[in-house]
Amino acid sequence: MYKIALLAGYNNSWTSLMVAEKLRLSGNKPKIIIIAYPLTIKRLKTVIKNRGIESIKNYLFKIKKLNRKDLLVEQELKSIGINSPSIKKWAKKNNVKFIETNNINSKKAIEAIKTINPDFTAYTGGGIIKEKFIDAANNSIINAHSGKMPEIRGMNALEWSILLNIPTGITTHFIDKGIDTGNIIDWKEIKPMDGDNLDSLRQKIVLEGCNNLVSNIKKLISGKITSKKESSDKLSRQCFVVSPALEEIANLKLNP
Amino acid sequence: MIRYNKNLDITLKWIEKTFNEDGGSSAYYSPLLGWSKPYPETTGYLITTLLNAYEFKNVEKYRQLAIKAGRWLLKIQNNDGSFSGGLYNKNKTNPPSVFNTGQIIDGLVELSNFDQNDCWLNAAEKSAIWLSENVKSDGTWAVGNYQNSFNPSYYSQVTWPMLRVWEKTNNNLIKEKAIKTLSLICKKTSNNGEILDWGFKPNEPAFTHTIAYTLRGIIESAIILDRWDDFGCFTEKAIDKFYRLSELKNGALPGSFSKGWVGDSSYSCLTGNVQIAICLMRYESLFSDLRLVNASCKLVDYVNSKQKKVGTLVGAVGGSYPIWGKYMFLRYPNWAAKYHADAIMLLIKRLELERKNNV
Repeated sequence: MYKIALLAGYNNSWTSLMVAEKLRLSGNKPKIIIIAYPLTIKRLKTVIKNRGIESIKNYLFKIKKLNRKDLLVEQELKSIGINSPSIKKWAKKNNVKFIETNNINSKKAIEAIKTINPDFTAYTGGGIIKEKFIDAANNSIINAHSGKMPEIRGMNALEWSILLNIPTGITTHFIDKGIDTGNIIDWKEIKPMDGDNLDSLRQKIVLEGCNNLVSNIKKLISGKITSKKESSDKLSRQCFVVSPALEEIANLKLNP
Repeated sequence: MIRYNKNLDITLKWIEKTFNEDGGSSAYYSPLLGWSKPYPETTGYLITTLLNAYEFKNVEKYRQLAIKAGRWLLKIQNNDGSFSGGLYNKNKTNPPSVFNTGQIIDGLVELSNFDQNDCWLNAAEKSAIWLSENVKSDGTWAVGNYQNSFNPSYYSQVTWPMLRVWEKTNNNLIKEKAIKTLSLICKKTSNNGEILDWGFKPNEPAFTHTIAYTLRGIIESAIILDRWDDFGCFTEKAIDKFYRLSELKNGALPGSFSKGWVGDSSYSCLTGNVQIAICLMRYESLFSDLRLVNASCKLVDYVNSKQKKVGTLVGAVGGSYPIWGKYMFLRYPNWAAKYHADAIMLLIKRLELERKNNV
């Protein structure tokens, strides 16, 4: 029996819930869920010091906006009778252990993951993971990245794919200590349809990301696929948050 | 690109305000002391900004102001072709300055592109010959330094205008001497991308202002010479470092750096931020990558957010943020406005090109 762990960024996350439920349905119910809330007072202070108070306003606005990305996921879960996004409720109902922490790299989280000794760990949020945690998780953490790797690494992968004329879609990959530099498991292209805008395309990609994460874990368990390391000279510049001026252009490119 | 045009308009208005009747531009405005004396060095390179604004906005008054500034500079040029350092004082002549002469050449060469009169290029060549004749065999200058015999690496910002003169005159002495100095500067590049002596003084933290001078001078010189692999490549690690820092700091770069890229984040050098944005965009013009344009947007957006929008100082850009920061303490230098306008014009052009090509 394979041991699966799930990492989440907050409790009421439809995407984390979707992955948990689909893992259960595929016969690979997680042994543990670690909810790591990346928004701590210490982190807020650091962000304000480095980027000013305006960045908090932007960040909160982004959260509000990002909430829209899981609309299709929410719809699908509701269609199968799951009406609350609470992971804690789901874990209790399905008898899955869960822990909460303010930092995914904390001793508490590292001890918890070590105890499980996972074969695979599904990442659905929780902040930047450091080497210590990755090692404790047996280098088994898998992420669904909304862009083609190694061309698109980092933040706002969908916007950058459009701006840099790279096909849009999902890369399933192992997480290592770099930013989106781990071994690649699978790439699935998701082409924009007529009338798609950034929000609608993102919703499709997020839904497919959840599905791919689960199906690729299943394939890895059955030995049907393996992962591949990209050579470091193929790595491109890391992407960061798209500025308002370029976001405008990305929207125009997608929907002139 | 309405958001950028609004800032550009008030910056250009502020730049106009810095000019006096004779055609010189005050170095800075101090809320305590008012306008400073005119500064020949920055009046020189403000000409280039005014002529870009003339083209960009199609407003003749900017060209006229540039010509007026040029005439004033010709009046105060020394007989040997050099220009004196420091602020202008009609009762006292300062010693000639290598760096200041270089920046004035930039404006004079630009004027020769916009006005038929030969006087601009003749004066620029005379200055460039003075610079060339004073370059020693090791590529350093013995006279006209800001700090005794210290030859900072931001003298690449002198080799660039020298090469602009060579481009127009084919005077090979000028080219030869510019390359000698440029080679010496490039040799000072460390493995981590830092370039030794890129600050005002040796072994002291360098403001992003002089770091950007150094990088820009090398980049532009390499472009003119079409020798990226011999010179320009030495800027690549620093460009990458500033790309990441600009993104991670959301446009608010540390005001200065000590050896080992140790930044002083107690303030940001606003002119340095927009100068770095220009460096990223000029590099990007060779190695197309919108990610660099994004970082430039962050740098420009940050300075836009700190620009004066109300009161008597509308359009002014402080030397530092906060204004009591270490660079140009409590002052609004004319070159902060210059580089702000330059960066915005470059950014708007790049964004418009992207929009045109893809939509």
